[in-house]
Amino acid sequence: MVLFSKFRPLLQTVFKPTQQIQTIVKRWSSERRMRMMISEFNERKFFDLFHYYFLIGLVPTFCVVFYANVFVGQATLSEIPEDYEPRHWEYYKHPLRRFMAQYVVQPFDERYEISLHAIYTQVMRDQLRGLERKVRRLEHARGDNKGWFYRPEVDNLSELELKKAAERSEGYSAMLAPRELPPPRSWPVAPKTD
Amino acid sequence: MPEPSPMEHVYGLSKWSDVGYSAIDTLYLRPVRWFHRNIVERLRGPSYPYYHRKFGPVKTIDQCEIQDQTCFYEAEMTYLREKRIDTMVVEILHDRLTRCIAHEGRIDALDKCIKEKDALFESHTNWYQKYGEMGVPHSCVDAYMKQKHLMIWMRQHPEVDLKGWAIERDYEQKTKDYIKSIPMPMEIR
Repeated sequence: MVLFSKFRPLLQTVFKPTQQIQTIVKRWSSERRMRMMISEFNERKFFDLFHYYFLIGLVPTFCVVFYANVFVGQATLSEIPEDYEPRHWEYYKHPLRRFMAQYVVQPFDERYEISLHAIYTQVMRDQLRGLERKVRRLEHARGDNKGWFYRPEVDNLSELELKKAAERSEGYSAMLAPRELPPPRSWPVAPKTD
Repeated sequence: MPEPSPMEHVYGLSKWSDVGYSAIDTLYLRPVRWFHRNIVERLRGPSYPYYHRKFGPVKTIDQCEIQDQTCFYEAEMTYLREKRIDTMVVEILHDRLTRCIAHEGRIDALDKCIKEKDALFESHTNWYQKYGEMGVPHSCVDAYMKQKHLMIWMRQHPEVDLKGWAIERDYEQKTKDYIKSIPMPMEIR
């Protein structure tokens, strides 16, 4: 990384355009020349990105790893004391691994118990579905009960109609009155007004 | 001995191995040891423990009820753990034999490394009898059935030597005889 600045002079020594192409005399004085150079854009961009990722990525990572290995140190294996249940991260040796186990990763035992629970619930669901199938089969065969085998179709509009009819038969109430009365009917026969 | 230590270098066996080891010594081992002793051990914080996981006793396949999926899962996990542990055991014994051969030399190992060889042979045979040749993938039920069929077969053929110690000893003897049969001056042998 330190010697990157030496690349360009090396490159310039390799590619030496001839004197004629190198010098372009414009409206300047006879001593000033415009040098025709190889493009610097890609080099600058590469060094920019390298320094960016190095400073933001490698340097903090290196510092963290250095601190964990030198200052904190790895754990020592010891027997589990009586009446003590170690936390799930205390089963790992390296401090960074312990950190990940403590704050980032799902615990090993928890994963095991979750799998067990998933199996248990699936077994329960299968048993219930089997029971449903059995009941449906028996209802269909015996035909002595409407409750389970009968599959009612839900008709929201008919239900609404029935509700409205019940409301109308009960009588209109001032609390439930609409803002204005509905218009008098004109079809098929207008009402007699005498 | 779960973490084997690196071998110590013996100076004087060969000039080039000495040069190589001295180079590695000055370039890597000495600086690292200096850094560790003078800087790391002074700045290191208090030591803290870590433990080995203990798995409680769990029903095996033969004790599980019919259609008890949770029991099957636990038995399977136990079986896989045991298999991994046994594989590590075989690997460690193999490693010990390799180190013994590297230490003694290929010829002297025939006389001096018999204990490691026997340990590896036995562990390998047992591993094969327990886990081998069932196909991939296989379950704990397959392993249980294999054990059952093996026991039945052993009861039906009690005279057969399943571990193969006779063949092993025969092979060792043949190797030694072959090496003795090679004509060589006594100074080299």
